[in-house]
Amino acid sequence: MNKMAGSSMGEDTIGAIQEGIRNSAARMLESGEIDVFIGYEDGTLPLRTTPVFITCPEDAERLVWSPICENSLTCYLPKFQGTVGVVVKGCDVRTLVNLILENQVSRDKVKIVGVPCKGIIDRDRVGKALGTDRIIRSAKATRRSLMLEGDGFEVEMEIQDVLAPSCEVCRYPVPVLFDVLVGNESMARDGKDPEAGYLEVAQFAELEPDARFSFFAQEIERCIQCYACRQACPLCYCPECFVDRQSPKWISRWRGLSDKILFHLGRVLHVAGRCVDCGACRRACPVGIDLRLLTKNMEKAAKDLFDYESGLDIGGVPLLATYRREDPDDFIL
Amino acid sequence: MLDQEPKIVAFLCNWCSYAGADLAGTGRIQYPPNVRVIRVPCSGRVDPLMILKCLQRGADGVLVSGCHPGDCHYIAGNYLARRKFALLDELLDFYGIEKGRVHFSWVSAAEGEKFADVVKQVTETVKALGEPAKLVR
Ligand code: SF4
Ligand code: SF4
Ligand code: SF4
Ligand code: FES
Repeated sequence: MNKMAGSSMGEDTIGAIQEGIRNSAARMLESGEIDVFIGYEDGTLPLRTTPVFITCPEDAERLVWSPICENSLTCYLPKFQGTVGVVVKGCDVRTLVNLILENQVSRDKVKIVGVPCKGIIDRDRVGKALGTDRIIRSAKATRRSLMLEGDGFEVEMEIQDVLAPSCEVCRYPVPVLFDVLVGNESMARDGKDPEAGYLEVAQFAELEPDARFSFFAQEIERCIQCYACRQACPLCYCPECFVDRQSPKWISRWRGLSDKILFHLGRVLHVAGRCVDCGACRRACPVGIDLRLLTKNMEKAAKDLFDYESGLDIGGVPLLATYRREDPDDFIL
Repeated sequence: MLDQEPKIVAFLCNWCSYAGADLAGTGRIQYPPNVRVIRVPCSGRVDPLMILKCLQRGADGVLVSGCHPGDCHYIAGNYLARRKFALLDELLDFYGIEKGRVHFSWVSAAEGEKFADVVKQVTETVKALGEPAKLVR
């Protein structure tokens, strides 16, 4: 297969990162500095990887790395008692910084294995590019391309054409905090300017308010309130989420649109000033609601109003746990 | 324009705006009877979700009023609230929900006159917006 020749160098980078992850995991487990290592292994379906919890060094061989490694593994950290090693991408580690700031994870209980990230793929985009009626039997990803095989077809796609929307505008592909960085910074994609990420939000804000409302109403109408978005978000760790509370009952699951909207507004407010646009919520949504527009707008608001970017500074204070006297006041009577 | 009188839920801080409302009353200052007051210990106690819930369950508007910056009984409750409210304001606007449904004010215990003015202003704005349709259950 000639098509694959061009990507061999890329494959090596992925291979090197994967090797690095395996070695770090094995070493940390052997020395006893961690109790468990959380990484990715191949999933049972093509184009899927799945989180894996490794406790003995020999099993480190199961760990994989590729642009299909999408889950934010930091999700699991608040639940662990012992010391954990974890693989993080640029966005993931920013959620971890927030978890540390919010006292959900203690810095000395986590060994961070950072990956200089090239971006991950978006399965919706792959589906669109491929045509939804085709069943993928096997998939192989290299640094630059994705090879898909199914009944009677063989397709190669450029990773950058099916990149997750968050990755396209990612500002910090190299983890801002780590104990070990596998590979080196030059293996990551280039960080984008914040304004690039806010373009879509700014354009949307130009629409008439009623048009904005109808857009969201139409999107959110499709929500089945499965709460997978919350489940996938590393920052949604509340032992009892407001949607599950019975008294007071904030959100009902059978009341229709208005309750769905309230859920979405509530969730967005809860991640305001914390969300790092990792995109996990959007990828988790089974009906493909564009959750990013709302969270991204809050991110922009945090920047515009308070000059705050979330998840960068382990010595900082969460946005809503502090204030400045000169914070915006002009909206108050 | 709303034909009926609008219902406005007012979350008033116990230490300032609530007393301000009281002062407006004892001072016989006239203001529209549209507000339904809920006394809260501090403006920082008001979860944005409470505001949204009011709008969902039939309030035409919501007012949250607390102590002036620097005067909060709990030192920083109003400063912290201000950040949350700024974000809520931005979110509602982006979402396409009328700006004039939710209002914030600082009213001290000595400002009966200001309280009456705020209520007048809020009532007029909310009235002008007409029937709420966007969040109502
Ligand atoms: S809200 Fe979505 S994009 Fe933001 S941190 Fe959570 S999962 Fe990631
Ligand atoms: S949506 Fe809000 S209450 Fe629910 S888990 Fe997330 S942060 Fe907690
Ligand atoms: S994952 Fe999608 S369908 Fe499920 S609750 Fe979230 S937005 Fe709704
Ligand atoms: S006590 Fe009045 S706002 Fe905090």
